[in-house]
Amino acid sequence: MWISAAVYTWQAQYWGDTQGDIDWEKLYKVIYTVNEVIAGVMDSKNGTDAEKQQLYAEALVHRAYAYWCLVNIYGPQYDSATAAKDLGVPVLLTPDLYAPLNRASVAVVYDRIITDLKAAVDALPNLPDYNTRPSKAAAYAMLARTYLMTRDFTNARSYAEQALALQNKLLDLRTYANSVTGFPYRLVDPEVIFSKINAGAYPFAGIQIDTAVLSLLGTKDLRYTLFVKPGASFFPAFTGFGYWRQKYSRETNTVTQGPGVPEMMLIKAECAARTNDAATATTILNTIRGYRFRTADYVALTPGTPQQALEAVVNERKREFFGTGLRWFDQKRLNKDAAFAKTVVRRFKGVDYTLEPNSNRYTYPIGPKYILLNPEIEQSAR
Amino acid sequence: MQGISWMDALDIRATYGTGGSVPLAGNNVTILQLNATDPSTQLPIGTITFPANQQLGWELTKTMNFGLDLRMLKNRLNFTADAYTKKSSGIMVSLPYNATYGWGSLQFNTATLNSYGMEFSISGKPLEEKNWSISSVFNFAYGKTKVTDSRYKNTVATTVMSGTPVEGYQLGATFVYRSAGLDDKGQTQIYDRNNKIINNTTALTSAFDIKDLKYVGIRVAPYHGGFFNNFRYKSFDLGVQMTYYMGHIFMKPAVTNYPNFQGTYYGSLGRQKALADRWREPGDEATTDVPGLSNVNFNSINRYANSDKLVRDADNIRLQQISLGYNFPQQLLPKAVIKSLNISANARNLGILWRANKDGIDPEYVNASANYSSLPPVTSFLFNINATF
Repeated sequence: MWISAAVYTWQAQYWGDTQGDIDWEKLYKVIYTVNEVIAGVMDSKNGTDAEKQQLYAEALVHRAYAYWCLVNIYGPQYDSATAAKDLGVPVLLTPDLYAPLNRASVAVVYDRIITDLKAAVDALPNLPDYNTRPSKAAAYAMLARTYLMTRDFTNARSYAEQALALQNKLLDLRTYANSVTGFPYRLVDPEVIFSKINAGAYPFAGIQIDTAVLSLLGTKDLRYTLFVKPGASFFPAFTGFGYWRQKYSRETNTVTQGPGVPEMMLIKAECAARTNDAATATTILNTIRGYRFRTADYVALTPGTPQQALEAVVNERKREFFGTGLRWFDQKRLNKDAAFAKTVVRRFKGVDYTLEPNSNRYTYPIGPKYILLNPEIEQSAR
Repeated sequence: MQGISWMDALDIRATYGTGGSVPLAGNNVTILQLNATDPSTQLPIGTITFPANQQLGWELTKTMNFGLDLRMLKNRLNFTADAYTKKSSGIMVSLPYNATYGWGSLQFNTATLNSYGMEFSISGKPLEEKNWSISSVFNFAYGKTKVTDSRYKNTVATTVMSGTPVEGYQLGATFVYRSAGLDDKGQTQIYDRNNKIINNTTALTSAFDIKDLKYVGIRVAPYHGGFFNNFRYKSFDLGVQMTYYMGHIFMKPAVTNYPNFQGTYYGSLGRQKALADRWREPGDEATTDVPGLSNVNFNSINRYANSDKLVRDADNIRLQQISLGYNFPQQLLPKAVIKSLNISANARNLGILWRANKDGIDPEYVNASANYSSLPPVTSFLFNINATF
């Protein structure tokens, strides 16, 4: 069974003995590089002190993003009851090529992410010259994302609001309803707060969209009419429908996964709904949806109870994030909510595969190659 | 040497040297390169080309060489012999490294090497008459490099097919998995040191190490040389050059890119003909070692491709060049116009005369990691006319 099939069916092992895991390697490459910056930039020659501090802070945000990805891909979902002993990922904070690689606990990795992001804020500009560079908005957005994962809804909301105070423009999809000419590239997309992309190993472009997502979207939603195309439009072609948004940019297989304005609005809405403020959640949802339908097709959502508002937020997250991989982290996170915990069944080549809520198959296995090279790395329970 | 009539000259040489070389692909400071501009932002792009590797030092080599040159029988028979011994320490080797550190391979001073070898060459003119002559050169070289100390622990990830130095073995020692054939699902099985079978869905642990692998030889020919002959009959010259490589092994390339690799397959098919022999249904495992398509995974293919089943003897003899020339005799040339005229035809890289493997593979041009062979040098034909006026 090949990697994509192994991942698709939540196998115990994804990688062969000596095979490299591209996600792991790319993220740790980022960590090595920013650790070099962190270790060296303050003592470097030339440049002003402010410039050095900004670069140092940018490196901290990049590192926090990489550890956020790593701990959520290779570690179990953060749970305050068990995080101190759950296996996270090796934490390297200096460019030391000989440090032991024991996996730090999930709590330690999260603490590091939060510490780094908070330490970075002061030296960063409110908004960056290019969204590939970290800004205050980016650090706040990552803090909001991280606190949401830990179910600290007060902090998640507070940081989402601080990010939105600096950047809050939505892309009006109605502008492109009839023609996608001028559809913004990632670097100039007003919604992108911190531009980060997929590792690029697998053709995201060729992944079939779940039929449940298609029916949730309906056919009037501009996110459907613009971003969903039949598999025949892709090369190689496949049955069903695929995600097309990245085809409007120059980078045809690059999926944007960094935090953006809609995500911050949805975090705020979710935190509101979870604190019994259905009205705020509904207003936010309808603000987003106003930009996602032709005026003639727009119907305001009217969830009544906070629980209904929360369901509406979760559904809106599906509509906003499908095709980007972010839904995986939602699915993993929401298993901690009895109302959203869900058993997923997939049929592959005539065999049914089941993923139970909170199953340890939500944790990606560590590539055996890294364990063969450094036996102190412990494999996750399978 | 007076009084020895058959010997024209005898030279004896001896040299001793020691030298160090600075690591080329590694350093103990981080090397940063600023070499490009991002097309979208116009911001400079910086890349770290080498990490600071504090454990890296110089590579030291001590060499001793003895040589002997002998010319005999009025220069009709010449003999040259050289023997050398070389001790190198801190040999720089690029080792697979844990990419968790940011680097998938790093240079290390790993091993201490003892090498020795000899080369000799005989050239002679067994026949030299007015109309006939034959001159021949025969070269032979033998070299062996043994690893006497290796600082790094060898793991399967660094040993199988990577050429990592292993103490007590020659440099380039090749270790492979011990194939246990296919299972009833058509997937590769290997043995561990206790002959326990490991199937393709079982990940190897760090307990599986070099003792579970099989040493099968070295990949670089320890014996090699050439045999050059020149025949002259009157104004005709015929040159034949052969080379030989002996004593090494190669891995017969396996299909590494199965048609359903990563879901979809497109592009060139490469050397996929072994697929025709693949396992198709239970029972086929009795007759084939090529993994079947369904249930195939990386381990199945990788362990088969790097198994003893595919080790082949790489000995081969090659025909490098044949040339035929004709010197027009002076009396045929218009004296005032042309001083000399020579025509010749020359064919180079004529390929293999003999090979030990039965698979029809040219062992000097195998690219085991890809689906394609490296192309051997193209056979070329040259026609020359040389005239002096």
